[in-house]
Formats: sequence, C-alpha cells, structure tokens
Amino acid sequence: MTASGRSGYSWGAMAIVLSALAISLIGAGCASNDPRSERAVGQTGRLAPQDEDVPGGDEETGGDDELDEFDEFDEFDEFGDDDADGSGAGEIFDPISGFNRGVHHVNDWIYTWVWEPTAKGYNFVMPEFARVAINEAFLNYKTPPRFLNSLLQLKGEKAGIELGRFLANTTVGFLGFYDAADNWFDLPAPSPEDFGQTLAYWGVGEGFPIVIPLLGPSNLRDGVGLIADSLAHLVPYLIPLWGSVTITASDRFNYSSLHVGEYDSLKNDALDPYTFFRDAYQQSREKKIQE
Amino acid sequence: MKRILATTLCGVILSSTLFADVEADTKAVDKVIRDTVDSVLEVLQNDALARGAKRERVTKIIDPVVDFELMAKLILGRKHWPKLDKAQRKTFTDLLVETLKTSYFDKLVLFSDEKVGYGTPVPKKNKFQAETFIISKGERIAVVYKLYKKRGKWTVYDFEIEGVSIVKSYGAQYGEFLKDGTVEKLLERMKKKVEEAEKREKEKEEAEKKKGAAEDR
Repeated sequence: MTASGRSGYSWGAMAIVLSALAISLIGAGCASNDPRSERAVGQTGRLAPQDEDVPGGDEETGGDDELDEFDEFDEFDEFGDDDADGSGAGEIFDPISGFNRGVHHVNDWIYTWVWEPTAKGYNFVMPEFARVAINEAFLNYKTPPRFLNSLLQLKGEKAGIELGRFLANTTVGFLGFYDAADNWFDLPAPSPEDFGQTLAYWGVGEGFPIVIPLLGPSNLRDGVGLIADSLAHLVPYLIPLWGSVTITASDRFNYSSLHVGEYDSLKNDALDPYTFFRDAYQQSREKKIQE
Repeated sequence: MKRILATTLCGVILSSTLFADVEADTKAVDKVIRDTVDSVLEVLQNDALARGAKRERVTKIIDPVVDFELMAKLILGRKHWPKLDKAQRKTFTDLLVETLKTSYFDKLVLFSDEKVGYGTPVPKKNKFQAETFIISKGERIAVVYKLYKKRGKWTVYDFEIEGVSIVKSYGAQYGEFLKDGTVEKLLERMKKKVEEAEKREKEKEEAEKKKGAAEDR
C-alpha cells in the first residue's frame, strides 16, 4: 500500500514526526550493531527483555534409546535460532495482540465475503493477460519508493536496475503495461525494497506486530515504512486524496484477482490463522531484508 | 623443504578432492530437485488426469525424496518431541504427513501452469539449499528446498516459500498450541483438520468432475 491517504504536505510532516518517534522508540530496544546478519534481524525485533534462559531440552534427552534421535536436533539446529526449542512461536513480543486479533477477524471477513468474491467476478470479465499487464503497470508506477530505498540501503546496482527498468518500461513498455526490460533487455525485476527494509538495514527492530485494517499483517517499523513510502510518489501530490486512494485500491484489487484462492489455502493450513499469518509475515520480511 | 612440499601437495590433493566432492554433491542435489519438480509439473499439467489421480501420482513422486519423519521431529523440536510417547509420535507423524501432502498439493495446483527456473544449489555446512523460482503471472515466487544426505541420498527436510519455512511455521503453530493445550488435544485437533482438508479435497474433485461433464456436453 504505497499511495495511501494523503492530501498534501501536512501528511508528510505528520509522517516524519511519527517516524522519528517510532524510530527513537524502536531504536532504544535495539541491541545489535550489525543490521545485516540474520541473527541481528531476528533479535533486534524484540523490545521485551530477552530471557536468556537455556531451555532444558538438553537435559531432557536422558532416555537411553533416544540419544540418537536427539543428535538430530543438534544437527538441524537452524530451526532453534529464535529460542532454541525449534518452534519460534510464543516468544514473539505481541503487546497489542487483542487489537490485532480483532482487526484480523474483520479483515478476514471482508476478504472472504466481499473482496475475493468481487475479484472473482472481475476475473470472469477481464482476461488474465490484461490483469497481468495492469499489475505490471502498477509495479512500474510504484518504482520511486523502490528506487529511493535501494539508494538508502547503498544498493547502487539495484537502484540502477530500478531506474533502467522504469525508463524502458515507461517508454517502449507502453507506460509499464509490458515488461520490456525483462523480456527484451534481460533486466528482470529485482527483489523490491521499501522503507521498512531500509529501517531494518540501518538496525531498526520491528517493534511489535500490527494488523492494519484492510491491509493485513505488518509491524510498527513496516507500518511507518508504508507511510514514508507513500510520500515518495509524485502523482498523489498533484491529484486529490480520493484519486490516490482509488489508485491504491485498484492496484490491490487487481493484484488480488491474480491470487484468488491463495489466502484460503494458507488459512486452511493454520491451527490459529492470526498467529500463522503473523509469523509468516515476519519470516518473509526477514528474507526480504536480507536480499 | 621436502616436508613443506609434501604438506602443500597433500593440502592441494585434499582440498581438490573436497572441492570435487562439493561439486559432485551440488550436481546430485540439482538433479534430485530438477527431476522431482519436473515430474511433478508433468503430472499437474497433464489435462487427461483427474484431480484425485494427480494427487496420487504427485504423492508417489515426492514420497521417496522427502523425509517426513524427520520433518515431524523438527517441527515439534527439542522442547515438545520428548513429551510424546511412542504411539503418539507415530500418530503425530502420520497426521503431519497427511497435512503436509494435502497442503502442498493444494498449493501446487494453484501454480500448475507456470514455468519453473532453477538456481545452483548452495552448500550450507553438510547440507544444501536448492533455490527454484516459479514464474507466475509476471512474478517470481522463490521456493527453496533444503536437503541433507540420508544414507547417501539427498533428501528434503524443509522448504521455504518466499522465505516462509514449513518446519518453522508448523513448529510455531503447534508450539503455540502446546503452550496451553495437551498433546492429546493437539492430535485430536490435527485429526479434525486432516478430515476437513480431505472433505475440501473431495469437494474440489467433485467440482472438477461436474465442470468437465458440463464442458463435454
């Protein structure tokens, strides 16, 4: 959601104040000085005091015929990174989980009963190739924050690719509807950067999970990132607020139409959909931050 | 001087054989993943097969390549696995295998028309990560398979879709449940979920049959 509500520069000022506040808040909870290491990303995320208790797992392995089995946990210790018990859950600092669950339920209801059925109807009248082209055009439109955030993370090559792709796709790609950069110039889209990732790159922890109404799982850091990224676009400064809201909503709607059934399939896997999507969001963000 | 020469020579030989091993392993891992994914895609894209038949064949292809028993152990982890007695472990593993197979198949079907690209497998200590890309509707979805050598055969013990690890996610879910719930309750819950998933799968098969019949008419 990059072009969410703003009516001009007053929003900008508010966002900057908010960001500064949040950064100082989160910054206080940051222990690491190496923002790029996997561990640092995983651990700076917690504002809560980190309990250093060593889980009793090692001692529990006393059973004689089980010694072999527990060698495997040492062998595959990668899953113990978070809290050494192989299940990263339960340790996530989630102070507003009550609010989050509420918003999750409302979002779930809207998505299941309004948003996706409407997207299915749209699929029926709009052929897939057209929806893919529209999605490409929106991706092209959203280049500015990706470009700026690549620069802010000192990823010069990526910034260059973003710029090159934007120039190619806007011109010979018919305003971005065709991905000419990928198909003709062998410049495929790099993994997208956003301001949440920029903050993480410079050592800012995630704060705590927040489920944003209509948008879904996020966290304090990435929520601030969304606001900052929405300021990186030029068009919203030139048109009224409802115009940019429409642009964003259309983008999301068209995107959803290309992903019908996926949310449902994932939800069905979960014992508790709220924690499932919260944890999945965190994992996928960690990967994006590393890229 | 002689000794230095000998040591160097030994070092060179040793490192070159080690290097050759890594190279051979990389190739082996690459082959396992390519062969498996290619044959799964072939099944999924075969329009002559009904959904149920596809599911059966996909299961047959992935069964020897994936170590479900190890996944079950890793998902519960050091903290929870010891709480289960022998019978419970067996039940848990069986239910998990059902859960994972249904879930994997359900997602595969969503992406069955897509192209797949392969990266070079990357060694991680004595294990490997094989990165693949599903190119779907103009987007690249990263799927990473993690493999280890099980009795000389490269075997999958986890995979990640867009950075979300199956072992970690299920581990988190079950771990959270076991914080307040008992093992018995968890097994009950899993059983119910498997039954629900089977019902949904049946419904999807029926829907496909009806659609096919309508098209034939």
